[in-house]
Amino acid sequence: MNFMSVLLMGLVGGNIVLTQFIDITLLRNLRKLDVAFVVGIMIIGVTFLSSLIHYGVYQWLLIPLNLTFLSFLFAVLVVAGVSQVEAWVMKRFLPKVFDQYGFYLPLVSTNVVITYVLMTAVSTSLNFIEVIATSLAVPLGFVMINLLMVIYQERLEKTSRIPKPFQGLSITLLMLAFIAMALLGLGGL
Amino acid sequence: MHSFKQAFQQQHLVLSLGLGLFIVLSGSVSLTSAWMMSLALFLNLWLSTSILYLLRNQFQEDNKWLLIMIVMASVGTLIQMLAIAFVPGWVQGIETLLPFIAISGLVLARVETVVMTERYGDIFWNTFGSVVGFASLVLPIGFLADLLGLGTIQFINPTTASSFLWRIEVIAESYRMPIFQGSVGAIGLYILASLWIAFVQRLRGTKA
Repeated sequence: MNFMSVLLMGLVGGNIVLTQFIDITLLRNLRKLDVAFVVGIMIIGVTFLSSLIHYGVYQWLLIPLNLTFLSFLFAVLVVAGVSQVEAWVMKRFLPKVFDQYGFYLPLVSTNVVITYVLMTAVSTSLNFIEVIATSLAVPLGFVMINLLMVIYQERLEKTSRIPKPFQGLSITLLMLAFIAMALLGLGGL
Repeated sequence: MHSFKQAFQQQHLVLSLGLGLFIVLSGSVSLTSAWMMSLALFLNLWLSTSILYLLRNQFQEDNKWLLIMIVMASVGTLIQMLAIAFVPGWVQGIETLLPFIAISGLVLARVETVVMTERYGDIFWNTFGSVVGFASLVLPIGFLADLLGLGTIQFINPTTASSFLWRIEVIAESYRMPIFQGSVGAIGLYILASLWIAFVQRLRGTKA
């Protein structure tokens, strides 16, 4: 697979939110566009750095020592470490952004999307270029759905036509079904 | 029993906040997967909370989450390895997702509450209550996904995925709905989960 096809796959046809349900919790809980955008940028940054580090750890430490069964534990540690570094960098160089959005950093370090990318990269034996493409495409796809959901939810909150039992989580899931249906048609790209 | 009731009720609150939706939906692809996910969640919660309870004196504010994550990830990996070795039929299709239970918001929220506030005697009942609440959501969705997508009521043999403990064909092949199974199954599962949650909210007379 080339770089562009991996990128398109992550964004549209194989979007993990819509095909694997990965981290739809976050989609439900980020209600403002600016928050969703900043958290999205944080997730893209942590995913990219973590996947490169985890790929290196897996190739040069876990495989030679025959400890590949520890890859999940290392993935969690790498994500936690990179999130801490990101928090420190934000605090040091972007203090205003940190004050406003630092509250959401724990959501990034426990984000399933990031760990999923790390684990997929090693379990499907991707090469280095494919790891880079995946670690960009998957979080980008997640952020795209995230922003779409925030916009939908803002609009839905203004309408009173939703039947009571469907309000909240239920309508969010229905919207995801419709988005999944729409993007599935673009899977052949 | 008080712990059980409290955990069961909190489970609904957690689900209404959307925590743990990932493992709810990825576990609902079939009745067997739903059962396996519930079992894995029980083992994961029980073992992790027991270990963390023993380590509770080592916690400090700055290392608390790191310790919790290390224990949870280790237990998650252990359960995945045991499941693949002993019940390969039940974990087919969800084997790579099992460790992710450990970092699900649902589990992390429960673990922190249980470890920090309760006596060890309550941990089992608390865990059991959480899992019964979880299973009450995933088992019906898994059952309906099998019924509408495959037209069968079935349960896979734990030792091999190619045979069944029981299998009853209910719907003829031409009436089955492929949006509940396979690569496009996510669409059907979102719809099923949405309808099921709406149904539960209707019964309880509340909004999710």
